[in-house]
Amino acid sequence: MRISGLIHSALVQRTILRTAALLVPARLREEWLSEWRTELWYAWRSEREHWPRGKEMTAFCLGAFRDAVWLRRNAPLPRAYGSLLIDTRQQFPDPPSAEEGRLLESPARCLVFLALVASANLAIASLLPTAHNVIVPPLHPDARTLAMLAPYGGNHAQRDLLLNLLTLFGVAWLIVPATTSLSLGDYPRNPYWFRRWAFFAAKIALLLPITTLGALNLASIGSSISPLGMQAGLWIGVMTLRWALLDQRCRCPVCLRTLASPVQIGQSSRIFLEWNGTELLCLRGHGLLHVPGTPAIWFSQQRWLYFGPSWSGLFPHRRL
Amino acid sequence: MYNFFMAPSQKLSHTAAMILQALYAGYIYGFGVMEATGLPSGTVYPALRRMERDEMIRSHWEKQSVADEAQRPPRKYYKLTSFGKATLEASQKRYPLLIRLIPSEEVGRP
Repeated sequence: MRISGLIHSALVQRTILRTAALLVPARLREEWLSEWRTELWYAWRSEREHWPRGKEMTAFCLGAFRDAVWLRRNAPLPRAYGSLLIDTRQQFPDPPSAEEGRLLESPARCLVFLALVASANLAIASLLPTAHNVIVPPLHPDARTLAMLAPYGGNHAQRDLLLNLLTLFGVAWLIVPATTSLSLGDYPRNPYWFRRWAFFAAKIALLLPITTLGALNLASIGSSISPLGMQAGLWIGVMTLRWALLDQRCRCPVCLRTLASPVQIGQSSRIFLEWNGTELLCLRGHGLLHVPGTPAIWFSQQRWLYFGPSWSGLFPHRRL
Repeated sequence: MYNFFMAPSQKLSHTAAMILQALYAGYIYGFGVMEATGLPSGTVYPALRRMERDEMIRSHWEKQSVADEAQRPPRKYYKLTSFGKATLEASQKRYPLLIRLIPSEEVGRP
């Protein structure tokens, strides 16, 4: 009863709102939080008899997460990009900074974030005794003698487990095509092609320890290795690989930053007359990405259009 | 964003139509809409933001002096735009029971 009272206390509800506010873009956070706090104040004082306090109030506050996520995905950019294209006398102002955009907008921040997650997983694995034994097998006092007697004996169980985890990552590659296309799109060749593939390879290289160590940590929560944790590892692998592909597709091939200003173009009912889909823009003026709404034979995958030097007038801050 | 190609008859979901109808009926703030429609907060507030983005509704904060006088925090109020009203009319034709679900006579107009 006491725990339930604590969970549904005003303090917890305010904490829920504060936590959800972290998802809201910084420039909108204060207003968003004051709106939800006000609504909560009125909700607590609602005269409705069948509106019980506590539990329902907590459920009310949990709805803030959905609102915050919506705002994070759909909040307008600080300045109206795109609309300026009509008036060629105007120029695109400074692109919004990473703080104003998404957390993983910049390629460096994305890789640092993945490296931090991988390090956190390694730290957790070193704290869990079962996982720690797999990563750093305990040295037997007579290891040298044992190695001489049974050169292939040693720590087979631990080695097999690591191999199984790596195999799971490979199996995840076979499942991913069922959830999303493996194709990264149709990009005309340019001098920066290597950068794009190097970034993708770096992401995969960091996802490998995240997946294997994450699965190992999940499996090692108990006193022994749990098969359920291993199965969870497979799905972690599928999810992370899927994310890597989706993330790669919505990045500019030149500056590797995430694209912005999605605009819906055309109607799916006119597929035989014109293309329909979404057009995304690189805020640094490197080009446009056309993502077909309904893949057709003549337009089956996303296409990138590089902006030539004539666009530099609109993007004075164009840089790599 | 409203543009030339967006007709007032654009099809709204039943939930969105209910929220528009609640606003039209005089429930002009988020929690009021929740009470009138019975929808959870995680549905109502994002829907209000989406409608505001699509220029069906407009929002404004109550004046601090008015709220101070009543010894309560200022609220954020929502109001239908002309495009929102036209969309609601189209939705009422599509969902004839909408008016009966949230009749506008019950609440005094702001």
